[in-house]
Amino acid sequence: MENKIYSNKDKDLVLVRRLKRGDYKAFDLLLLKYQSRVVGLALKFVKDLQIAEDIAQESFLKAYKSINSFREESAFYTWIYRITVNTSKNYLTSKSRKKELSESDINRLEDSEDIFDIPGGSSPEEILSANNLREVIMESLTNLPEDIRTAISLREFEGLTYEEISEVLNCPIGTVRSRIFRGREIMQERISPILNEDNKLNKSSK
Amino acid sequence: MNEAIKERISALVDGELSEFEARRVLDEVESNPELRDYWVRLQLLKSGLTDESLGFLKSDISARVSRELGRKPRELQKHRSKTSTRFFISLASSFSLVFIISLGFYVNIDNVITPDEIFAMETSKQIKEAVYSPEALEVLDNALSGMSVSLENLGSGNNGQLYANYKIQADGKKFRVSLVPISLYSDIAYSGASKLAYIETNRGNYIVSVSGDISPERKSKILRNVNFSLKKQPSTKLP
Repeated sequence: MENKIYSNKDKDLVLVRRLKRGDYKAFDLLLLKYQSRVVGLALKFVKDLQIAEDIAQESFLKAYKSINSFREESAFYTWIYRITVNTSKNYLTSKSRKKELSESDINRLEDSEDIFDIPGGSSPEEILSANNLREVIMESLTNLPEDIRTAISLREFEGLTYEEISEVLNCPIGTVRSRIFRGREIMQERISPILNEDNKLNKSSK
Repeated sequence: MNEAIKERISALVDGELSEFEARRVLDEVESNPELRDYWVRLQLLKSGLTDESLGFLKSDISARVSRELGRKPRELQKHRSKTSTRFFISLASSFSLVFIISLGFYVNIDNVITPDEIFAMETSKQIKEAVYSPEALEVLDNALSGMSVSLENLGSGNNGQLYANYKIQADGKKFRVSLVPISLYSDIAYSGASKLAYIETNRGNYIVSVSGDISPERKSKILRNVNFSLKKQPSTKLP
């Protein structure tokens, strides 16, 4: 677990540093990466998806504008998480909407590590869709060739770096990188039909 | 898509690129929406493996943030399932018309039925057959009678679940009514069990729920109407 946290922190660093040099593209990728978690976090405070998206938007804008104050001592997500919590609290205070959540609820959410579950506003079919997708992802992992599956498992579940994986598997780092990539390609092919279906429905609902 | 750049994106996801390599990848991503989409899908894969939220399928605020920062949002990909999307849009539009006409019919029961209404009812029948659950949608129509809402679109999932997206005409707010086969209920961790209603059809029993931008009062009204139109509870017990 410790490995994983350390690794998560590191893997955003290159994007954060690019962003500090004014590279918006790096910010865009961080935004794409974390937007769902940030919306989900805000949703725990305000219970309304549209408002949660507004709060998430404001949080990312704040992060963008104050990126130079991010000292890289923690993971980027920890930082944006903190910004989102504060933005949500400010919203509730400014709108006198604390009654939506009790003080103890807010304190509990602030301290909560449980930030990865499906937002409370999800409907049953969205939950089912997410569950189906997760099942297909796990099944496709199981069906990968052993060398590829091992590389991906060490990366995703153990949080090992490519270098560490190369030591464990006794192969070059380039091979590790290639195996992980190939594995993801295979898995993407499996989930594409589901994602295309979801996109189709999402688009038609907008 | 170029395999080499995709492999580099895969490595970037894992934080395994040098800053120099990362800069080159970012330049590529900037100019190619497919690569941006590829980044999103890689995040999804990783989230699926590590049990993180998969909810981003429904929330994409990146374009809004770009606009706020004075940047032109990248054009999203337009390549997926155009035919099917058109089918659903067409289905939704037709059904919306039918729905409004049907509402008038239900509310003003003494009115003479016009040829247009007969046509609409016939169309409605076909549409209902097209989404595989005529009885469920019929009950859904009844559940929404008396509310000034219009159907935006509807869809179905791989496990027989159905949903319909509606817009409230007065304020433009949107909400969704979902129908999930009761047999699937044990597989989902849905916490709003107290706000569920049920529909019994020839194709099986469904759980009905309402989500989205809708007041608790309206939500309750819809669910009450569902239960009223049911006349009886389904025989299948909840797990």
